[in-house]
Amino acid sequence: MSVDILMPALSPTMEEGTLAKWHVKVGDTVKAGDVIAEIETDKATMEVEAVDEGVIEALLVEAGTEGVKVNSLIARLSGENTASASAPEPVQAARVEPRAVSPSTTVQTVLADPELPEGTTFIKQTVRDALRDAMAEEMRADDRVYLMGEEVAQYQGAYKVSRDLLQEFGPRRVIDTPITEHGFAGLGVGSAMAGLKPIVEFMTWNFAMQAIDQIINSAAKTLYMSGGQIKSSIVFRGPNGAASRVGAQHSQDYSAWYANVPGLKVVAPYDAADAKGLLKAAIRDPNPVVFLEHEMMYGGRVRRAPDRRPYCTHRQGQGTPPRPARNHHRPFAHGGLGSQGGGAVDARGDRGRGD
Amino acid sequence: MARARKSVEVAKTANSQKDLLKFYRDMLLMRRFEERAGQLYGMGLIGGFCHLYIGQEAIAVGMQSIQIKGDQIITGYRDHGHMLAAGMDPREVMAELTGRSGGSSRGKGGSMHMFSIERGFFGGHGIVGAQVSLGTGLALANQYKANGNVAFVYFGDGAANQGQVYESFNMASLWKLPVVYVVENNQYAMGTSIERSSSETHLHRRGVSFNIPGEEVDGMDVEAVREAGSRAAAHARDGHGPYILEMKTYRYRGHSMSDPAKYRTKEEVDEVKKTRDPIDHLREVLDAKGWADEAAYKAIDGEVKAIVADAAEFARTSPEPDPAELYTDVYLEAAQ
Repeated sequence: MSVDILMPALSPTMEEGTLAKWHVKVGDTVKAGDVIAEIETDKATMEVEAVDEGVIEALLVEAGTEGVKVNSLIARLSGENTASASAPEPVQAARVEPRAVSPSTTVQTVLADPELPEGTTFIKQTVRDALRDAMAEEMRADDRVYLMGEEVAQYQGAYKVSRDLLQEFGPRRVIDTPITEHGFAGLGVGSAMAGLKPIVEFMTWNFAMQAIDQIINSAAKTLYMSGGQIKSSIVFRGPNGAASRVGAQHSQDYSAWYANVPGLKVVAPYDAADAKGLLKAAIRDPNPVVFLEHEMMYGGRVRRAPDRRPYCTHRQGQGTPPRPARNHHRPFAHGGLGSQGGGAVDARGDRGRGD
Repeated sequence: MARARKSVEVAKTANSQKDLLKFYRDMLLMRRFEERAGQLYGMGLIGGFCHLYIGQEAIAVGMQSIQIKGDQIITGYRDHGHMLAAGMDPREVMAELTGRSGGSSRGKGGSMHMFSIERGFFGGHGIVGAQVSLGTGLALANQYKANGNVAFVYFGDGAANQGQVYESFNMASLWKLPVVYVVENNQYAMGTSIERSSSETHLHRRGVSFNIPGEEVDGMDVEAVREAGSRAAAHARDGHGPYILEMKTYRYRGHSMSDPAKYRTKEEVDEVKKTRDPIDHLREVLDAKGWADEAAYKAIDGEVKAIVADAAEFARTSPEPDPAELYTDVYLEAAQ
């Protein structure tokens, strides 16, 4: 009797990953706890341990295969403690479609976009890397821009959005904070009042409820109350909305809350191109910007980031209301929530716009 | 790290005649200004909130005297005295109190929300304790820019119980930020005495678990404030991180303008006025040294009265803001 070994998930939202390495070969005897393989996503690497004793009967996915679906069969273990007399030949990963990822891959047409210069080509990129590149480019261009938040530096970002930034910019500009949202949001706003351009990362927007007073009462209102003297050029960013099986405290969507606050700009990008362009625009913006990302989109390669476009401008109907009163679009789902609302768009038979 | 400027510690005995006369004049200006603000409130010219600084003048004046160019000040809602100490125009401050277009925030901030980047005054904040995180952020910016400046962050005994104060203490000490925390302990958070609100009433000890040094200071003695302030500023400016000064002081007036005055006795207030008044105290010092005679006091009195009368007249006659101002200063235009 044999035991199936399935591709494990590294996180609640992981759907597929790379089987980087096998530590065993067919015929090896393993016991529970032995490391048998390494798997990777663009966010993390994990060792896979055997959960039963037995002999490796078959390795069904080749090392180095990308795009292996969670819960697909990757190996088989014989339940007997003796080597099988007739070990089957390793099976090629026929069921798994490996996905080649190459930055040079070009795509001819995506969506009509009047702002794209003639001849713009697109690269494949995850939303996660697009966000990181946006921050890195703005930090290279302007010494006043710095990143602060929990686990943004040494840990490389709780969701790996800030990967490699510490290495490039050092601890002066990539600052790990204690778990103290109210405090570091206030420090960020204060430093913005003194002329810096902070990017404050919240591990999730749910935790920013600890800091909402500083976002609204200090960042959003001080320009008005000072008669235009004190500005807060600051970006608050992090994942927003429902992720997968994380409970009500980690699932809230704050877009409507913040969109009701005069003085704040609220942005919820969908794909990698919007994520990069809108984050660069948000960092340059002289106003406080609430930048709502989506955890389940970080690994998504929904659309591609253009390889040369300085940055997107704010556009109506993309979750970016520069003047809330003039925003006539009422998208019923936006940002990462758009991917979950897709079925409903189809059911309505329209583009999901209310007007 | 190269530091552009250095703080100099000032011994209490080192103040010159000129220093002390200036402190006397500045404290008297605050006192007369606030008395006039109270009067304008009674006449209906000032509305909303109005928290008077009367009794606490020695703190703003003494601390201001040791600051150098580029240092920042941030405080809570009892802020008029700090603005005057920072050198903001009394006309603009009074006109902001009356909500006029000539006010420092063009009539859009009011009593609790005035600012002057030029003077290093970053408000004026109405959420109790919020200025402590913001001020620690000012200090972070100083360290980031390596400009050798210190942020002076004021809060009261009431704010000392807010959580974000301690979140800020932790980061300030962890990162050795150049910040001096000045607790203006006037003994009452609105109507709640410090004994009824605080398990540790010696607020200078509140930094112990963050390794922040602190000391208690007689906040009714401008020279004591100056001496302690210079010590704290030197500590912060020289890269040793934050410092806490607990200023023991007293507010003579109510919390705001509609104060029932049921939480303390009239005798208690009168006793402080009689025995600890910061202006009377400095006058005794000046008299003892023979540094001012009746004519000198009279001249200062006259100057201060004229400034306050002029400010009140300006605040009464400056026009109301245009209603269209409701829609300005909400967003800044983004450069494309």
